[in-house]
Amino acid sequence: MSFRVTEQSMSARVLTGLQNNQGRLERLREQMASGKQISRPSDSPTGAAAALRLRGDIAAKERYMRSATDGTARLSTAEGSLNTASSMLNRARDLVLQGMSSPAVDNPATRAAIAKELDGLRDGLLSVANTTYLGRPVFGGTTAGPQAFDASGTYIGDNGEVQRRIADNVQVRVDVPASAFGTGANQLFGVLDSISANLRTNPSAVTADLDRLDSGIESVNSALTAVGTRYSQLTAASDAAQAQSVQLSTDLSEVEDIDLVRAIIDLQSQSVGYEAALAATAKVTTPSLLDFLR
Amino acid sequence: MSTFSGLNTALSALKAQRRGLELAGQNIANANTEGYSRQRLETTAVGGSVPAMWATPSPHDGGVNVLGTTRIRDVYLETRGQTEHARQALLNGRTDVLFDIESAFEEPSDTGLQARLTELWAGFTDVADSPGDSAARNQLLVRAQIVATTLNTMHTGFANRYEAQRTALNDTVTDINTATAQLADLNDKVVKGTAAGLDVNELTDQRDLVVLRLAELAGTISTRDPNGAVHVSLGGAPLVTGNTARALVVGGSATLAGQAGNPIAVRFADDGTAAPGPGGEAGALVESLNITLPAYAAAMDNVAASLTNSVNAVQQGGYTTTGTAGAPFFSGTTAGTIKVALTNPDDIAASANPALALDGGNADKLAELGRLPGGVSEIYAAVVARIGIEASTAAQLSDTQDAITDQVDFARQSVAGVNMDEELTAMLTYQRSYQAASRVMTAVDEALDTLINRMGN
Repeated sequence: MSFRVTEQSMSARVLTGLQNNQGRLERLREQMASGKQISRPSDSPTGAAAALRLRGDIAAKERYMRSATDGTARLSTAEGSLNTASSMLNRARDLVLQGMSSPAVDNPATRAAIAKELDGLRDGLLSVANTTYLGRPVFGGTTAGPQAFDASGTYIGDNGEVQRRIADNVQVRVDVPASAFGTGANQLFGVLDSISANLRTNPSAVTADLDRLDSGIESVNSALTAVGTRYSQLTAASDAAQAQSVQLSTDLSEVEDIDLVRAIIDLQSQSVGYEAALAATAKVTTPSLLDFLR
Repeated sequence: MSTFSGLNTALSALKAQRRGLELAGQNIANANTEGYSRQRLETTAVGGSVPAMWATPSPHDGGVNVLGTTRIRDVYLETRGQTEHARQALLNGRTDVLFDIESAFEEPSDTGLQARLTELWAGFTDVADSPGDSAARNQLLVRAQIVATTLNTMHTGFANRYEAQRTALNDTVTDINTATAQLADLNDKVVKGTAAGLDVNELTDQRDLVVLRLAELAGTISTRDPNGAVHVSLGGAPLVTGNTARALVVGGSATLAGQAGNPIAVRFADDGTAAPGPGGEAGALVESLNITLPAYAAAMDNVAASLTNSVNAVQQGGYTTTGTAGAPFFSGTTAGTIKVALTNPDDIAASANPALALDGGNADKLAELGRLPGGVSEIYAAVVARIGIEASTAAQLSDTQDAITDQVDFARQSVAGVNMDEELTAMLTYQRSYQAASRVMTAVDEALDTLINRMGN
C-alpha cells in the first residue's frame, strides 16, 4: 500500500530534509570558521581525550625545553668561569716553576715579585669562583648568600645540588660543586696562599706545593669535562624535547584541526546539494489540481 | 410508489450533495489546522429494506440518507504517535541537558581547566628552577588561585543549572496540570455530546492534541473508554479518569547541595504518592536533577579532592624558605570550596631539605604531579571523555528518534491529513452530483407537468 501524500506531510518532509541539509552545512561552516573539527567533547569523545593528553604532553615538553635552556645558560656560565680559572692556574704554574728555577730561586726580590703576581692571580681566581648566574653563585650549591667563597678562600656555600628536569624521568645537575677548586689541603686558594708565602720565605717547600697545585688544576679540568658532558646532555635533551613537541603538535593538529581541502570539498558538495534540494522543492510543491481546473 | 417520490429522491440527493460540498469546504478550511483530521460524509442508499411479513415494501422508494460525518484517523498510529513523541521529548530533553553540562567544561580549549592545570604545573617547574625568585613564587600562587576559581566557577555553574532546571520542572508540571484539566473538560464535553448525538469530531481532534501534548510533557499512556472518554495514566497510576484530573506537584530540594538528602520527586497533589517514573520532558528534567547534574558535580568534587590531597601531601613533605615543614597548599576538597590556603609565597615548600633554603627538589615533585598516572589531569580528562561520550550517545539516540517520530507523524498525516487534490475531486463530484440531482428534479417536474397539465387536453 502506498501512502497518501498530503500537502502538510509533504511540506513537513521537505522542511525536515532541508533543515537536515542546512544543519550539516552549518556544521561544516562552523568547522571552517574555527578550523577545528573538535570544538566540544561530544564531537569526538576519544579525540577530545587524546587532545587533552596531547596538550598536557606538549606543555610538559615545553617545560623541559625551558628548564634545559635555563640549565645550559647556567652551565655555560660555570664553564666560562672554569676555563678562565684553568688559564689563570696555568699561568700560576708557570710562575711557580719560574720561581723554583734560577735565577729567581737565588733572588729573594724576584721571588717576592713572583709571589705578588701569584697573590693577584689568587684574588682573580677567587672572584672567578664567586661568579653568579641570576644573582646566585654558580659554585655555591643552593646557597641563599651572594658568594660561594669568602675573602679568605673558605667555602661558605652549601652542599645542595641544583637539578633541572629535562625529560620525563631525567634530571641533570646544573651546578658545579665547590670541589672543582680542590678540596682539603689541595684547595687552590690555600695552595696559592701557601706558595706565595713559601716563595717569599721558604723556597724549598714550594716543590710540595707544586704537587698540590697540579692536583688542584686536575680538579678544575675534570670539572670542566663534567660540565661539557652535562652541557651536551642538556642540549641533546632540549633538541629531543623540541622534536617531540613538534611531533606532538602535529598529532594534536591531526586530532583537532580540520583537513582544509576535505572541508572545502565537503562544503562545496553540501552547498550544491542544498541548492539542488531547494530548487527541487520549489518545483515539486507548486502544482496541485487547482492549477489545472478552470 | 407515490407520485412525488421521484421529487423526494432528488431532494435527498440535493441535501446530501450540499452536505458533501460543505464538508469538502470544512476540510479545505482546516487543511493547515494542527491536529485536524479530515472528515468524510457517510451516506447510505434508501430502499432495499428487508422484506417483512404482512407488509409490502415499495421497491422504488429511494434516495440517499446521510448517516453522519466520520473522522478519518488510525487509532494504532495515534497511540504510536503518543509513545514516539514521549520518547522524543525525553531524549531531546536529555540531549539538551548533556550539551548544556558539556558547555560548562569548555574543552578542548586554551581556557578550560586542563589549560589552567597545565599552567599550574609549569608554575611549579618555574619555582623548582629558581626557588629564590619571588616572582616565580608569586606567579605560582596566582596560577593556583586561577585553578581554584575555575573549579569554583564550574561548581557554581552546576548549582545554577540545577536551580534553572528545578524551575523548568515546576513550569512543566504546571503545563501538565493545565493539560490534564483541559483533557478532563474535553472528555466531559465529548461524552455528553456523543450521548446527545451531536457532532463531536472537532472536539475529539482538540482532545487528541491535548493527549499528545501530555505524552510529550510527561510520557503518559492513554486508553479509550467505550463511552467516548479518554483516560490517561502516568506510569500505571491514573492521571485523568473521564472528567476528573489529578494535579501533580514537584517536591525535593531547591538547591544542588540539598539534593542528596531530598531528591526531586513528582507527586500527586491529592494523596502525596510519588508519580511513578514520569517520562517526556518532565522525565528528562527529573533525570537530570536527580542523576546527571549531581554525578558531574561529584565528579568535579573528585577532581578538586584529588588536587588538594595530592598537592598538600607533597607540599607537607617539603620545606619552606625558612626550613619549616610546608603547610597545606589548598584547602577544601570539593569543587565548590577549594581555595588556595597559602598567602605568603615564601611558604611554598619548594625545598626537599630543611637545611637548604633554596633547594627546588620538592617543587619539582609538585610539578611532576601533573604527569602522575591516575593524577588530577587524568581524572579530569576522564570526566571530559565521559561527558563527551554521554552527550554524543544521547545526540545520536535523539537523532534516530527524531527520524522515527517523523516517520510516524508522516504516517499519521498520511491517514488524517487533508489532500487538496482529493478535496477538489470530491468538490467536483458533489458539484456535478448536485447538478445531476437538480436535473432529475426538473425531469420529474416536467413529467408531472405533462401528467397534470397536458393530459386530456
